Amino acid sequence: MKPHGVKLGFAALCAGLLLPLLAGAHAHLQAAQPADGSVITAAPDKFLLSFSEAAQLTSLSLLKAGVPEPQKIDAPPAAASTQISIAAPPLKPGSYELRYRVLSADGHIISGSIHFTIANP
Amino acid sequence: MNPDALAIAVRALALICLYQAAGAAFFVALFKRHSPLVLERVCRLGALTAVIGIVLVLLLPPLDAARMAGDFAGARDAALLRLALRSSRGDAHGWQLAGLTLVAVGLWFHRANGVAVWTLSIAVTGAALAAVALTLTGHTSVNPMRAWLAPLLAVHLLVAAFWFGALWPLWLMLRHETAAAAEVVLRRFSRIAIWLVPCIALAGLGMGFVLIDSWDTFKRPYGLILIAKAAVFALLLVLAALNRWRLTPALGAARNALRRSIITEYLLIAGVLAMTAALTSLYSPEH
Repeated sequence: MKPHGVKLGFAALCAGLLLPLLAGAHAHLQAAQPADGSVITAAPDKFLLSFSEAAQLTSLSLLKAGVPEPQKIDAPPAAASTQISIAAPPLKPGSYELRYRVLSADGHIISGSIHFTIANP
Repeated sequence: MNPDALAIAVRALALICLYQAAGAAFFVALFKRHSPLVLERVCRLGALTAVIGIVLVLLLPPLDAARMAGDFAGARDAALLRLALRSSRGDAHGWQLAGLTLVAVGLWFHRANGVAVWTLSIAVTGAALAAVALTLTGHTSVNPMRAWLAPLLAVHLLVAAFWFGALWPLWLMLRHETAAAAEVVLRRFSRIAIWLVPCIALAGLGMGFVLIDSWDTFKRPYGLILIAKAAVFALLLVLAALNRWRLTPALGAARNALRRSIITEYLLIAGVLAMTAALTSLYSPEH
């Protein structure tokens, strides 16, 4: 490589090293309502998910024990937040699994689920 | 197959192509004068892997949208696709595409005219951008210690690209160049690698020191994959030492053994890149 080529190569490497500094957390679920593993006597009117960092809900579905296909829950588009609240559909007594997927600020797609049971009144 | 598994597989292949293409550009810049017989082959290898890398990186936003939805129908959801493109991961994909395009164009034209400095400068610039694009996303990108973590990760990625990307060209040299020419390049490569490769471990240790705040991390998938990466890295150092001090000095008789050793090294690093794809897709130090 000729001398000015070396300079260009060095400049390119510097550009590569500086690129990371141009950019702007990994969220995990801290709490939920209904809580994971809880047994409740009244059907919830909403689901509340609390994350350690701001996250954007991208998918939510509810699977009832004994039912093969999960029910997709449509959530209105919302900005990233540490608290995500979604209206719950009418629910009958039974065991449920609430499955969620969120996009966290660091670009990670995080999935998880919460199990709860609605007991007969 | 669920979207998570397919996304990890595509991301792993994209990383392998990206680091091969970037490393080929670095190899040509550093060793072109000593490898005239394989220069065109290495340029072609770099340009081809850059093009394959571009195709694979283009698949990642739809796959991320599918992962967001939890099923492949998400890949056609305009809102999720927009979210995937506007996320920090989308930024990284954009820089990877820009870098790979520069590598493909630069090396393709350098192949045809091996003396033009501008073509090589374009390729090296693209290689550097593509290699460090991952610093724009992931655990380090939002950490309060980002000012320290980003340069450490950049060094980690650039040296990894230099090391991994040089192995295939070195194998080509052992196949097509004379023993004397191959030995010159192998010795020069070793002289550089002996200083640079430890930087991978040092940068990794520095990042681990900041990111990992509990020994419990090593009981979780993130920590276990890190341990696996460190174990493979140690094995790679043993192979590199064997190449440097046993096989290269006896190149005349050990040419085939050295080629086999380089193939093993290549496959092991490809495995580490696949582990990195899983690590950066699914896990964080916290869980």
